[in-house]
Amino acid sequence: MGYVAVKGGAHAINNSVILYKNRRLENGADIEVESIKTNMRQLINQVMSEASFYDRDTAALAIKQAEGNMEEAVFLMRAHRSTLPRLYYSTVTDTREMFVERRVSASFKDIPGGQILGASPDFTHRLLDDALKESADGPKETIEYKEVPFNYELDKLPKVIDYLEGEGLFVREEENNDEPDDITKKAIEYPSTRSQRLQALTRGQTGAVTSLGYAEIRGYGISAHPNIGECRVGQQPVHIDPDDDYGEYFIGDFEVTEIDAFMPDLDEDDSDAGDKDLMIKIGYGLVFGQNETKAIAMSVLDYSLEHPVPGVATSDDEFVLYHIDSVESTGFISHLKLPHYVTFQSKLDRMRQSKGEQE
Amino acid sequence: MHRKEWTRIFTKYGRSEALDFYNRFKGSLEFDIISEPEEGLVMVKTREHARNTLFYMGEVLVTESKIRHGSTVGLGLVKGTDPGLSEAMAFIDLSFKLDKFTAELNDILKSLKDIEAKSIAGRTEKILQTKVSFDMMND
Repeated sequence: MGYVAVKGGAHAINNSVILYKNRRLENGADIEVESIKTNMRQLINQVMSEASFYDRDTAALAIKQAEGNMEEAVFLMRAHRSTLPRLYYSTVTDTREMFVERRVSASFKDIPGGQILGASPDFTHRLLDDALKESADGPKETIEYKEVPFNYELDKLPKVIDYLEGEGLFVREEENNDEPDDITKKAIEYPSTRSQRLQALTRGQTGAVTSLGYAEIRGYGISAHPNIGECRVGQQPVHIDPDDDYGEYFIGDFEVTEIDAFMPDLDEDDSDAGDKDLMIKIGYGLVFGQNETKAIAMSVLDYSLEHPVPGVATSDDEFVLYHIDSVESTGFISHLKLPHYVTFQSKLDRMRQSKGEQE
Repeated sequence: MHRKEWTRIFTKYGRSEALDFYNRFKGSLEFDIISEPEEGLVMVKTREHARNTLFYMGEVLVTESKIRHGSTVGLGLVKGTDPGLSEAMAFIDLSFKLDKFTAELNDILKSLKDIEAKSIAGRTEKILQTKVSFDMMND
């Protein structure tokens, strides 16, 4: 067979698209984008993080259009992002300026500034709440207020690593102001740089980053239990410098989750000085929105890629960074169902020809 | 007042005041529009604390407007899709640069600073209700 028809599908394709668009409305009422934005906060956080594109309205619209399909919503966000001009690069944002809304440490009970639980599902029973079947106009329960410390500044909380630095257990490296690489402008080349790794990890698919992070600590890499030195969630201010001699310009706050994970010192065997020179090492995670599991897994993978264990997949930057991107991985896997008539027919022709020659 | 401060105050606590100011004074200062409100992106550059290096963590949607009076350019840049506030911020930026209507602007900003202080105090008090008091364990 020398020819495979590639025309004739337009009618079927058009109707398939219509069926897909109509299906969302066939079994019930439409849902407002605003409702998605206010009720599906965590889903929006994941979509924005994996799309590497922070805008709650656009994410809510993408979720509605994708019928809640994460990979489709992320694809829509990335596609829309590619139509927009990049106007500015921000000045360097530092999470020390974050307005902290939640901040816990799993390593120290008493941390400077205290443990602040914020809003978290960590302390809830994982039982379905039948009451949610009914719509509510507002919160049903109110918090109980007690007197709080005067002049407490949530945007000036010291970091836990500052405390360790004071103890001589953590050495702050000299500030490195080298311009980071940007993987949206230039594809990663291996071996990757630290800025490429962090950018790829922060926009990685939540499930993929979490699974690989889990594998790394369960038995395929460092095989050890990291300690979360600090997990903070809050509003991070972003500024630009328009370079017009009038100073920085505030453009808004955005929600982020940051993790400093204390990791086992894999270099300790190399130290001739013994235990006295052992220092805390940190794996770092920072993601858009409240995405604590992903941020923790990012910190594990950051450390594993900075301190590779030979022969371990999760220490291999090419293995990790190529496969955690949502659009890359879901795009390639899902394309397998699309027509491959010509290439497959070519394989069949070769097989038939070979079989004929044998007979 | 530094631009870093007034842009924060108007953007977070004074959207309607910025729009009111713009509508009230835009007829009193001639300006040309360089660019109508347009959506774009700001790439966020971040410092990480493990090795103290920089990386790009992603992009934020913004709306930008630019206007001009002579050679002075007013810039309006706000997070998300908000063409109205973007235009108003461009006019306010131009006003500050030309030293126009500064008394009115400073009056508005003074009252907005009070609103900001109350808002931060309220949010802080609410969040601190979730601060763990380990002393309670000994009660």
